[in-house]
Amino acid sequence: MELQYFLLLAAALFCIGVYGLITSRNAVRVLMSIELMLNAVNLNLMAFSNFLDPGEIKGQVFTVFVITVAAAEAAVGLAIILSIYRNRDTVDMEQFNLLKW
Amino acid sequence: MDVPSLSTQLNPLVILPELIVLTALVVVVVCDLIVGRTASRWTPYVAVSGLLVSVVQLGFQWNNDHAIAFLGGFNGDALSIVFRGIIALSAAVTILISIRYIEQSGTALSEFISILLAATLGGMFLSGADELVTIFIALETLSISSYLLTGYMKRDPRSNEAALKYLLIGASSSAIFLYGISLLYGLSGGATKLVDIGTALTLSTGLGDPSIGIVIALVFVIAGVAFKISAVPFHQWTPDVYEGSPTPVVAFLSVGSKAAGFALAIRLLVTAFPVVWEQWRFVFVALAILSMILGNVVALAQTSMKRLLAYSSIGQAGFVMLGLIAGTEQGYASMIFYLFIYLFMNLGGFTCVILFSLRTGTDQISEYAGLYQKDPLLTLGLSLCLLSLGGIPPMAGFFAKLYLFWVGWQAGLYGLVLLALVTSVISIYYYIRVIKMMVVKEPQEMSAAVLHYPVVQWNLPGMRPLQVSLISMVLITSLAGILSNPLLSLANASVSNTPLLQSFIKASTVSVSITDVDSHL
Repeated sequence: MELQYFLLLAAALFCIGVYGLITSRNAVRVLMSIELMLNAVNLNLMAFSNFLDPGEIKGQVFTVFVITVAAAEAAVGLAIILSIYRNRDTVDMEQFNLLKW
Repeated sequence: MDVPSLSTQLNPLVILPELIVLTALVVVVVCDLIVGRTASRWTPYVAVSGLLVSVVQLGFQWNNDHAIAFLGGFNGDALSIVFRGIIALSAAVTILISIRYIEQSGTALSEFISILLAATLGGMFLSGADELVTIFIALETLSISSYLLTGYMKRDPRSNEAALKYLLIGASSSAIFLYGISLLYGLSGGATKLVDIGTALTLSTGLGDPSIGIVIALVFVIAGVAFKISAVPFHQWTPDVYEGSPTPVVAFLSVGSKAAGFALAIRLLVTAFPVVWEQWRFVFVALAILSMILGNVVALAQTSMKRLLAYSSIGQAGFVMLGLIAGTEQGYASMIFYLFIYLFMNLGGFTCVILFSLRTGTDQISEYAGLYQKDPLLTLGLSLCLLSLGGIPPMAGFFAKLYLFWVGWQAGLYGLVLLALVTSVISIYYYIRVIKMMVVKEPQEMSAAVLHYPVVQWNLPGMRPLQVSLISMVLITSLAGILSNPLLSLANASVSNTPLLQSFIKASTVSVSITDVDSHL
């Protein structure tokens, strides 16, 4: 296996994430798209760490940190979505238009 | 490995100021748990004194020769000390002005303070982070705490909406930033320390053009940084978040969080990207032009005071970028000086906005009409802070702007400085509009909110700290311009004491003179 395949896979995953981020109307799906983008980053880091830095595997350590922080971010995100659902009875992004100029 | 050698290697005393803030945070949380609701009478003061002690401790570390801690993960040089000081001070003032606001809204004060302290910790670590993992963790500590603060009024749908927008845009921008960082890790052949990345990129590029990978990584990283300093076109969240979130949080976001973003921008770009110096300078020129124009022009059309300050802060970020683009020693010093002055004048302005919304419950600019008749002190304070933000002499903001523009002119950025002058004239118009609203109106033209203005009382719980911060911020804003020498020498000393900036300035001036010679040949 070569490094390029991993990087291509990660880039494709990242693009899918960006696509989902732009097109989704459901707030939970937007959150899932962001998770996809973070997982693309994880793939990148793992690939680089195995091919370029097999001694110190700093990329693998970084990946653990990314996974942890992604979990924290998802928890906070779901909490905010829950509180907005309680107040507005919807998670549709296009309904959130109280704030605009 | 034994303990003494381990401690000399890790050098943990560099993060003593952060440890003090952390202690204050733990004390606030634990005491609130043990004592209960009555603890909120004194926990804010524990937090504020912790922050102030931390600032004093930062002062003691000024001439520290062993500034690198945690095997290169954290760099406590003079540049980081100045930025950590700005962030800690802004958090202290934010706590003072938030006590009454949070109590009146009926939410828990101690939780608010502990989240704010966590955000401060993130910002302070970010200012000194010198390694990719540390940068990422510090950035996320700051961001996640900011999302929580934004959504703190959980019964208010506007606060919910602001928090959701901030979270989604913030999380996606940090994912993009992270993708850039992962490319950087690969391109440098597996280095995570910024210095190592810088050398690896320089070696791999040699004398030729930088590879497309480096440029892509640069663009992704700049996208993440520009989100934090809310530069156009990464600003869409700013007005919505500013309008929806609790006003003290906005005060912190506009000063503390922004200062942390600038600290990250300087350290990351200067240390890791000296190879693509021309490119990142070009990108920042574009960001500065867009921010100055859009921020100041759109602010003209605003009817809400908080949205007006949001757009004005976008414009101000554009001005600060001038110093970064200039790239000279005085360029960085003028940035730091401007951020210091901006801290005082912007927090002063927000103190007045909070005071007005506490007494009347509104943020609309039209409701400020005729305020002078009812509350001269508030009118005076808000007028002075707005004049300073607009850059009218002899306020502090004028001298800060003057220094910034002068440095830009010295560095040959004539077009940018002219644009900055024009846009700051535009900005004066909308600041003056608010002042005119408050001062000139006849008594019969008063707005409904001002007509029913309550009697000014300072002895309610939580009003004294608000008064203290109002008066001190306004005093500093009006006097710091004339007595600016200590601040100015602090800013200059912080740049000349920072090795990484010195070596970068030397290298960039050499390369500029080489290109000059080339063009003459």
